Amino acid sequence: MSTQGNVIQVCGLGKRYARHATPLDRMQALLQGREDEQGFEALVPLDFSIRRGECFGIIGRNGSGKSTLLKLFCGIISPSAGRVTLSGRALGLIELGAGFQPDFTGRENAHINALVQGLDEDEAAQRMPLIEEFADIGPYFDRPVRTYSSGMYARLGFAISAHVDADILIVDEILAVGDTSFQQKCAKWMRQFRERGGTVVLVSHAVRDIAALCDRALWLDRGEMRSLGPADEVAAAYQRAMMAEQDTGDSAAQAAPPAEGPVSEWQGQMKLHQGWYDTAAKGHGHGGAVVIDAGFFTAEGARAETLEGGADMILKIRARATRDLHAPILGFIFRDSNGRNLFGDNTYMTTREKPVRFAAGQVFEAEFHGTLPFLPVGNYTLAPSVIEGTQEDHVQLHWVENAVTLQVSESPVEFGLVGVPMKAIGRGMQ
Amino acid sequence: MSSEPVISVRNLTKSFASASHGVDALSQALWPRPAAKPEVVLKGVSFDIQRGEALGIIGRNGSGKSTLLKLICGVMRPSSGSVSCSGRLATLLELGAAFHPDFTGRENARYVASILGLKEEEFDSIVGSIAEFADIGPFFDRKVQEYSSGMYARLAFAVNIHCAPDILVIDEALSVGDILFQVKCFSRLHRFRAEGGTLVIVSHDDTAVRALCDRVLWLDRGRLVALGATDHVCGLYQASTAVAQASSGSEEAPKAPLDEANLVQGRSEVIDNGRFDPDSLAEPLHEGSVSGLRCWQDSDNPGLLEGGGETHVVFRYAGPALPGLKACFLLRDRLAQIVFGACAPLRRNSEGAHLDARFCFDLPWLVSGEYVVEALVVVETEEGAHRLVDHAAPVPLEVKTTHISHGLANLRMRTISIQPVPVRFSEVG
Repeated sequence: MSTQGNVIQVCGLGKRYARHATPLDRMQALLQGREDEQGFEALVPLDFSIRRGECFGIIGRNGSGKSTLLKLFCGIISPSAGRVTLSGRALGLIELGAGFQPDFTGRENAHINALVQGLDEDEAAQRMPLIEEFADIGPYFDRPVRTYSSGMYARLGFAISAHVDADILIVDEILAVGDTSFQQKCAKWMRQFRERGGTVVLVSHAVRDIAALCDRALWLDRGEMRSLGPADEVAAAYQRAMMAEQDTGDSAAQAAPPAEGPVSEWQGQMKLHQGWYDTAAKGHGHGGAVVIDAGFFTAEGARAETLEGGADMILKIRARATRDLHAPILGFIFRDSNGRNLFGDNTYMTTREKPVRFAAGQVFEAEFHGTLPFLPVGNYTLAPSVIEGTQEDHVQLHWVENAVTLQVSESPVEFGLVGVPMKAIGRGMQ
Repeated sequence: MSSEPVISVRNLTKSFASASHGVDALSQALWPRPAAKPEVVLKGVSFDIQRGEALGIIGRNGSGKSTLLKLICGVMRPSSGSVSCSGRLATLLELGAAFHPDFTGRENARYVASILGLKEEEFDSIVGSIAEFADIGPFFDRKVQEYSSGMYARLAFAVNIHCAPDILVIDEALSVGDILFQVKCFSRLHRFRAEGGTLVIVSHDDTAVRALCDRVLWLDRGRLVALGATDHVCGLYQASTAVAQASSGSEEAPKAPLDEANLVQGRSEVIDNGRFDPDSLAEPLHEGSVSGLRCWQDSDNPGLLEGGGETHVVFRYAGPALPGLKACFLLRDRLAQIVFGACAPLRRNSEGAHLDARFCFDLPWLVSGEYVVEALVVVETEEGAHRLVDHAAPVPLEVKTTHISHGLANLRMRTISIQPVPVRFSEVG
């Protein structure tokens, strides 16, 4: 078989940690060349390869050997059996900021890292402005990294990785550090990297990430390969196994619908009282449109005073254009008293194919028809907004926090953020 | 409720000399000369944290959040101003930062406990609980250098939460580990709060801040921009980031005004309406047992649920048919918040051997991600109080929802339309 397209070749790769009771014991073992009996096999010898341009996922529970495998890839630890061959320049983002010298500035650390990664002095100097720009940490780039926040560490680390011409990027868990705008910047860079033929090796607990991002995946279990194949299949198999493990054995029922059971309605009603649209509520945005009304309305078009859980609802948002609008989107978020976003929607999908336009001075409105959910007793708020652009890339024209306050005075919902009506509740004896 | 502050921050300022080189710093020390202007990372910040409160600290990268935490924890000294803390303060700053790689998990746990002021006997009495909570098996007695990042996180959380801290300071450290462990940690944090513990948490995760915090402090370029009720301050912050993004990287400070309205010092009210709260149940009576919990939509992929799909939950109760017996299930998100659940009376059924509880419902359009489902059996007394009989181990689930939204339990609208409003109807009364 040709290994032309393989950038990582793993042959009989294994890692065993020796276990000795005391340092003296360790010394004796070393001198006598004796095998330790209570050693621990972190990785049972494996064989596989990773192709160029592939996104390769590694999944498994805590302690399954994922991190050990990555450390072997990066050469941080040496294998006790077999070997791993990497063709191309590999870069590991294993622990954030690992490899930074705390007393050196960001620029100095970037320089050292670039040289370690095999760039020459000229190349390093040439990349420096790019790294500085990508990291976007302002004057901190010339300060010792010990003064950095964890977010700045992450920014610097990723900025360096992005500019040293690595062929293989090895990432342990998705970078959860950093604010949203930086995360988006990293995600965009990763996409471009793969389009250029870069290879990504990704370790994650999240089955979703593996299935969504990777082409193929390896499932490790207690240091052994359980499965290797298309990412979605491996992820699904892994998930099934995790489920089965949870199963205590005396399963209450097989996958059959409830055999009996009367349809159970909620033992009571939910009443939601709606306040007026607060014209004095704080709004913000860049202007271009003003929200002038929002709330629940009756089918006859009047503002609803009281609504019932499970009944049809009509939610309207009305706004006035103060300039010509090309692709306005009306939306809302419904929150509980702690500010948790319970539900929300907008008109983006409705107008995505055919954006609507409104002239300055024109009034326009959105209608959302649905079923009012059951909510626990408490206070709620409605925040309407008008934006322009697309869901991903837009400008907020006007957004009004707490525009409408609502209250649930009685409810059958005993606990939870929302109530979900049961279609059937069954009881049985076996 | 007592209102004594446990952390008192007064006019706190921190600046770093901007000597960039070791050589610079040395020459500066030997031959003092007019130094370059020091960088001020925290400027005259004052606030109090009350006992039992959960305070969130938000702000962009580089706004001074980490510096503030380090000053609160005493790992850094202020340039001026003061921080006073009363009580035992445990930190989860950078994961495992306090661990020594050559020591075992157990040795590191003992070390951290001694730093937190626990006596040797006290440590001996909690070490079993630490090992159990961390749940890393034989690794507890292996060197920390052999740990994966997940094991680090497990050990760090287990040690800190079991040393009975009065104040727990967490810096963005809870996104590690699998869903079962995350839910376990967040449940433990909720319990810590319920027992009167004070929480200070820095996070970029808006959902987590809204779920955990009573009040939020927003820092920007080292200044306190706003401090107040969670919803209010999170709203202001989001508005400012939206504006900042739209004006594409302008260096303007956020426009949120530092007016009286922003400086709401109150706590968000806690509504106690006497509802059944599964999180406040006492230890189980263990008179019966709950097992065989399953949750599924279609039998092909038992762990995966789709938003809007018909969903079944089944479990079994074996035990005496106590009066007032109720079977409940609930679904928690990664922050251990109960999104929804349901209860049904378990009636006595002739010779009550095994009783199966079955629920069928349409799943809300939940945010895509990981959840756990839990099952419990309780007895409801005539006074309306609940006692836990037993609960089943939580089962992890993956939910996929195609509907894009920010809502925790979204709806599917039947129709959505947008249209101009004729002029004569346009003025709303």
